[in-house]
Amino acid sequence: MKTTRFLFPLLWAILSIFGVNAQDVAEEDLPVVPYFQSKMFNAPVLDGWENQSTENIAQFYLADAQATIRTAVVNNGDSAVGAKQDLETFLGTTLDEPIYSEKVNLADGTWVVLVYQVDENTTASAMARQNDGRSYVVSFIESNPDVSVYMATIAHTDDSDENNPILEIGTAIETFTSASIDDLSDPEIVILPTGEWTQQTNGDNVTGLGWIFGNDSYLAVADGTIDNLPELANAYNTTLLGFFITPDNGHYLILGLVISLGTLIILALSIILRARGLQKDLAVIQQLTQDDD
Amino acid sequence: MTAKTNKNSIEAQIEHRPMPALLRILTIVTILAFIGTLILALFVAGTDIEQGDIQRIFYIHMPAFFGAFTAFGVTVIGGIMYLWKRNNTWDKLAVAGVEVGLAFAIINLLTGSIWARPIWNTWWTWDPRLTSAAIMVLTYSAYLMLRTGIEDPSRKRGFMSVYGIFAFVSVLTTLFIIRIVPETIHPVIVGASPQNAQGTFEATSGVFMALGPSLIVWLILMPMTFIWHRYRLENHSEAINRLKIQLLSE
Repeated sequence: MKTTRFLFPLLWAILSIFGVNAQDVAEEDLPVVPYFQSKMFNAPVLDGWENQSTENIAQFYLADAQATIRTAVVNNGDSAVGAKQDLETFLGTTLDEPIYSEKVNLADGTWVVLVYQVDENTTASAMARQNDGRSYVVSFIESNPDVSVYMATIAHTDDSDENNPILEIGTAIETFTSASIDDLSDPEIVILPTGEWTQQTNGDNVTGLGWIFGNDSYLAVADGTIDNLPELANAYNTTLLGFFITPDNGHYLILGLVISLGTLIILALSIILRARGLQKDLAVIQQLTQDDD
Repeated sequence: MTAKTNKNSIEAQIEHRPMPALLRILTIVTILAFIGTLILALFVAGTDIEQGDIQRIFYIHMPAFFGAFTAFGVTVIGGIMYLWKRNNTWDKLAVAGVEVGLAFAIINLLTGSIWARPIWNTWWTWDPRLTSAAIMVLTYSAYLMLRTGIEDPSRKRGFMSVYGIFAFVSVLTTLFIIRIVPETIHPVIVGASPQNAQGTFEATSGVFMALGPSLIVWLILMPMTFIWHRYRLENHSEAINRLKIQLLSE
């Protein structure tokens, strides 16, 4: 038994070292993307934009473009109504009917796409989706008197070019401006952090930008003089695609804990009960021995 | 007269064998340390913003596997030593290792399945690591069933020692398979995950703060405490069986 006493700690030490080393401990220095985090959702922090976020609203402002990108939650299960409510809260005015309203299916659910012409200088584009009776709204609001900017996401149709969103750019330009798509320039490729975008313009200072991601085209249209449309489009879609809701799955954790603790308790109880059973056996044996004596 | 002396001596051994002070202390320390790791995992470590609260199950899931690894490792050592020395002590240690390791392996398998439901949207998938973990559990369950099926004690100990040594292949396979088979979707918690991994997360300092103590408790304290208790039970059981045989033979 002396050998056993010495061997126990030694064996444990060997097994412990071997077991941990087998996992290849190797930390990598990965780039950290700054995120706005609230209890309700997470959204990327936009580099170069003024951070105007509050506890439950992620809001970033770019003074050059007089543009705001905002992510908020509204206690309304109808995402179209929720988006309108959030925009009205931000703008401090009542909105009329949107100039564009559609639904798209993205990887994380169905989103409603809304575009408003608020007044002569102000446009508001929003995408919203419903989750657990609330509406999560990602919106783009600009009030630059020199230009009107519209953001939208349009699903691909059978007629769409799989590699180029020119059809959707044309549709967006026709929807949001009075420009003719017959006068559009040849498509140009614009490289942005989100990917390769296609840009088309016409002589009336109308610019259309489009990017294909998944089964949808992400679009930005500017009606007027603007030199930073790619930056605005990239920022809005970074927010849109980087947005996510932390899932509420605490009940699975509770299930896991119950099963883990339950298994350990069963193991401990089985040892205790078997030991008690042996004690009873021993008592019987002792009784029999005494009877024999 | 000799038989009676032997019987009395065994009874005396059984009756006057209180739990060693070290085991008492170890048990208390293990319980407190386990509660401590639960507090770290549930209340101190931050919530994973992508996976939500279910990620916290990793502070049990992964350490439970390493606890099983330690316990099954004890079975291998017990098996080798029994085959070498032919001392029953080693066989008792081996069976204690299997029983404790199997409980830990079941915890590992079930918590993994519970994590997969919200993250992979399925309770189970025939991923290489999941499959090898299931085979590991079945292999050691078969150990316990086979053990009860062999009558001759000497033959049983020899056969189960060999079985316990070879069964460890299933543990090593489970441990290393995600490094060997690139088609796995199982994440690696420490180190780089395979490209196909789904539900992976980076082991940040916050994760290590909860995972480190949990690993130590599950890897060392819990197997040591449970195996020691289970070993004592096996000793007790053997002594009483000997006594019964003596009584019957008189």
